Amino acid sequence: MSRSRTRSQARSRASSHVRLRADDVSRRAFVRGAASGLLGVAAAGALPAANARAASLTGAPRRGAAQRVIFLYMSGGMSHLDTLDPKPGAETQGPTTAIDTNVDGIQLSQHFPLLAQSMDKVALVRTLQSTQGAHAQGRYFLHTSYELRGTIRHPSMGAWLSALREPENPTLPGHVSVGGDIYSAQGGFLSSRHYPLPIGDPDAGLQDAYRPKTVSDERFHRRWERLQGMNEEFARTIGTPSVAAYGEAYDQALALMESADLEAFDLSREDEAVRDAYGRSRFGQGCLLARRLAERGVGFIEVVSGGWDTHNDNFESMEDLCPPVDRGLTCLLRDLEARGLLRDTLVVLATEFGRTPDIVEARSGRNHYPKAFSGLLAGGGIRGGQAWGRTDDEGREVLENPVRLQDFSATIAYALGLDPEREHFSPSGRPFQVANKGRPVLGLFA
Amino acid sequence: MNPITTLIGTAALAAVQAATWLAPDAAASKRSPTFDPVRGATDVAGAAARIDELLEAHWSAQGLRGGDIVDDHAFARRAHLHLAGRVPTVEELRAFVADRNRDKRPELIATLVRSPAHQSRMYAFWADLLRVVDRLGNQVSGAPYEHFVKQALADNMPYDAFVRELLSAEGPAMQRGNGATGYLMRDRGMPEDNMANTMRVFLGTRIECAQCHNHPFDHWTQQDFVRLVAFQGGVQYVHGDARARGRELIQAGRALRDQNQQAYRIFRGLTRGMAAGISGSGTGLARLPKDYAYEDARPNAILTAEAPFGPAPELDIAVPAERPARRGRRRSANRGRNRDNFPEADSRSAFAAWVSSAENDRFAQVIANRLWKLVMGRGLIEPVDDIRDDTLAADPELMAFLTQLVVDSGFDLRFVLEAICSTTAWQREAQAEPAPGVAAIPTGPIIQRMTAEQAWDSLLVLRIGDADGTLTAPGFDAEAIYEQYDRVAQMSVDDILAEARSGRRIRPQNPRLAQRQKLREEARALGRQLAQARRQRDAERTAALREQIDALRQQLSAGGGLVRASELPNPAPDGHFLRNFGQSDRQQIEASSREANVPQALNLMNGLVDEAMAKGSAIQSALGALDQPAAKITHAFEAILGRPPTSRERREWLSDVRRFGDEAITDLVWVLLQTHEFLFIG
Repeated sequence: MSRSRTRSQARSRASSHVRLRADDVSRRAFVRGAASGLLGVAAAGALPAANARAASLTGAPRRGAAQRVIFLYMSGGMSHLDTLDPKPGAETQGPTTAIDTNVDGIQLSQHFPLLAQSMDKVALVRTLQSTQGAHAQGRYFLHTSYELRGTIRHPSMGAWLSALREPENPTLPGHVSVGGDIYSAQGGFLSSRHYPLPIGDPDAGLQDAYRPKTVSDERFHRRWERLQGMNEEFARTIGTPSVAAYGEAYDQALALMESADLEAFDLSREDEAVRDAYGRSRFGQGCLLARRLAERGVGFIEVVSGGWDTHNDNFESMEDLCPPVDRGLTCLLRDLEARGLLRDTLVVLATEFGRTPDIVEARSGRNHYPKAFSGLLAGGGIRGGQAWGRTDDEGREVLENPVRLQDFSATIAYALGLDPEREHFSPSGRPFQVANKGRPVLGLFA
Repeated sequence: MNPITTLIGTAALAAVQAATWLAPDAAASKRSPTFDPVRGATDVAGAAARIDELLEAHWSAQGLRGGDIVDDHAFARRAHLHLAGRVPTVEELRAFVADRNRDKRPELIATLVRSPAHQSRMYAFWADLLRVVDRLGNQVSGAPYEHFVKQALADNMPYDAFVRELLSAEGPAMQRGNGATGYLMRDRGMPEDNMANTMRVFLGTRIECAQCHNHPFDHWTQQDFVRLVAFQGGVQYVHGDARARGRELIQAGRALRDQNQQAYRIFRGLTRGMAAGISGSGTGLARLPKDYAYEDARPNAILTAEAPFGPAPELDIAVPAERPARRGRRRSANRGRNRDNFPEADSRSAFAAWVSSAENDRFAQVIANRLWKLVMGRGLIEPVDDIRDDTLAADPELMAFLTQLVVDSGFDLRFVLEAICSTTAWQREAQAEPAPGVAAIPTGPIIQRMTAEQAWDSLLVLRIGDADGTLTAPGFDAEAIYEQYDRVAQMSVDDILAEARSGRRIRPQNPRLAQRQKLREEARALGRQLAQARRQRDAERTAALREQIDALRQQLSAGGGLVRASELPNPAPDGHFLRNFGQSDRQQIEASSREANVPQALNLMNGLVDEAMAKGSAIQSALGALDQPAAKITHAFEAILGRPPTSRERREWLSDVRRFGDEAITDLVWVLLQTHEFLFIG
């Protein structure tokens, strides 16, 4: 007990400053904006004061500008045609229509009216390519840049970042996954310390983080002492990695319980108007939680939006799936900007593959399509207001600037200042790179 | 007439018999042991002895010796956790240790594998593999599918018959006795994914890459894949009878929706899932994708069904001549295979027979290897579902023997599991998981973290005592569905409309089911109000409604949800203990996990133990009934860790009790539940 307790206390002292460097003026402006419903559909694009201010804050980004990542994962395979790469007039488009954005020449689907007004902050990547056409494999490939194999588990970018970078805040986990099942982001062969901390329901926050009131400090420490004694004995006789992982999980849990920043997980401390602005969907509240964690120095936060596997009723489904993402994402970008955090926070939206341009009419659905699909990047040194790469008129083929998923990951690594070419060795001595030799897309940066 | 001749062998006949065998009445009467040895091992003891012999030979060739034999306490804990899915109660533990019978270990195994608790434990295994879920689609309940799996376990249905049923079932999905249709319904509209899953689960073969392109490392081609999919060609996810009146029902529903919302809701409830089911015996034909990129065939060409290995299924299907493509009809091209109307050719049962044949080596081998892994901790072949032509088992002779044992036992998986657990090897000291790449078979079972279900069910023993008493007969949840299906299937569309308009809701006969349905309806009504409150941004009302819904949900899960994992929703909801501890979300095959994470530690430290193990729990009452501190300490150790304390442990805790009184006993329970020793199976 005493050992890990002292360690965690030292940590929380060292980081008690936290990273709340939002400047108060713009934050208040944001809250006011939120309160008066300015993020509603009708008034999208308002908040002129905050926008003007933010523009000056965006400054001159450089590579390695990003300190942390918020990774929005559209689980199931997001249809590119119905979201970020509409093809108005094409037969493959179906009933979805396209709308103009605040950047000339870039259109989004009708389902992203809010994002359309913040297009200047965002770089679309419309030529993503994957080699994997099934969910488990595709999701794995997106997160790790390696193909799923029976012999080894590769780390996801969040785990790499947690392992390779000194944490901004050592009392909080470096890697958190919100709203998904807990395996979408992998820790791979890295220590379980770098696995994501799973938060199922952002509204509920981190469960059981507080000691029951009936248990005094002194009593808790007595318990902990006894527990350590028994566990050390057990680990001595059976020293397997999975047993060691439980030791680490308990140490981390204790550090967290004693962290001054534990309240980061508690959305009820947030202004109601801000909570409304993000949308009261699980995804929207997940974005808000991500912002709270980002501002307290958590390095990699994944927020999952599920249900994108639209083999059936693709077009009806879009009406349910897109609005929470449009609202949550757009609000997140504006809020980060208002707090001065967008400069060094990279926001990513990605999916494992796109969906077939051909519509299966019998069930009004689209099937898996890894050949060409879309994602986006914002903040963290990315130049907003651009659409990278081009697909053909029906959204079938990449015409220019293909971005393989490992290139996309390398771009994230590059933004973070992680060297995509450097080799790291697994415990079994095999060399790996954070993005599997992917090449960063330099044109995306400002 | 159908110009295509179809020849099916005896295996398909067996599939038909299996289907009859599964009919509800027959199933109950045929619960007799199914082991009918053909050749090879004739009994559990004989099979166990042969396994031991092969293992000893393997270890000695590797310069290894088997680990020590564990004591009775450790064995009882291991056997209960692996086979009954939970820790033994203190009474069970003490009775076993006190038993002077020489054969008590194999006898314990024999008893456990025949207990309802064992079905519950194996259900977790199969639900993970087969991705059993409560909803197969928007309107389609998964309860009949769950019923099928649980019933097969209760009846110890031969594994080959089980798989044949899953692969060839036809008919209404909501009708009694048709739960096996859930296997195809699970991947509704995705016959390719379903085929990839079938190959992986039952034949340990990863062929999904070939769905889009030739396999980069194995020899599978995209054509191989399409030829497999052809076996399930022409499958429709609507049962035959429904097609006739489906359109009529849809039109009636639409008309009603515009007139009377309330009646429409009842109408939807009545017709929910009525059409769901599987029709089509298989055309044996499928098309290559339109973007097929290789030179050896033209895109969109029609291929006939063909098995990629093993004895060829007996099927004789000719490729029909293509109608000339009509010009200017691009839209119809988008319809893909749905446009084709090939004749039925019974290719599905031929496929089911091929997969489950005793002659198809991989079928028996894969399940033998999975069972071995289940209780030994590591397969003789790893990974268990990526077997290739050149894959070599850690001990080929042992693998061959286990495979043959599966076949010779008449695919009696309970027998095979009983044999493996009756070996001397399974009584040896637990071993650390070997590093990847180490070929030798460990000299005892591998220490494993409890599965989510084992952890939940073990805590349940401590919380309520008789955890197995919460198990219900298979199919309880499905009863209401069967009842409604039978009733509505006989009604005319007019009758259904009349009932919907009358505003009456007919509840199931069984009072417990009726009560459940009433609660569900209430929850749905509240859900609609909640959606409205959200739209109106009425935060107060939203919160109040949420609370009401939560309370209802709590009521809906029997006994406040304090039931064995196999009785809880499939899968348990997000945030539930089971999910935090790695229960599969049932989206992917074998997505369960035993990884450590911080929420588990928080849950055990701060959530569960002080609350749930406090007043009213079985373990607290048992401890409270004891006078002597030493007896309390022993009881706590036995209840949680399955062993008495060491003398040092006893000394330490006695001194704590002297200093802090009963508080120290609560601390003891807390500490023991946090230990690695509790969470791991040695």
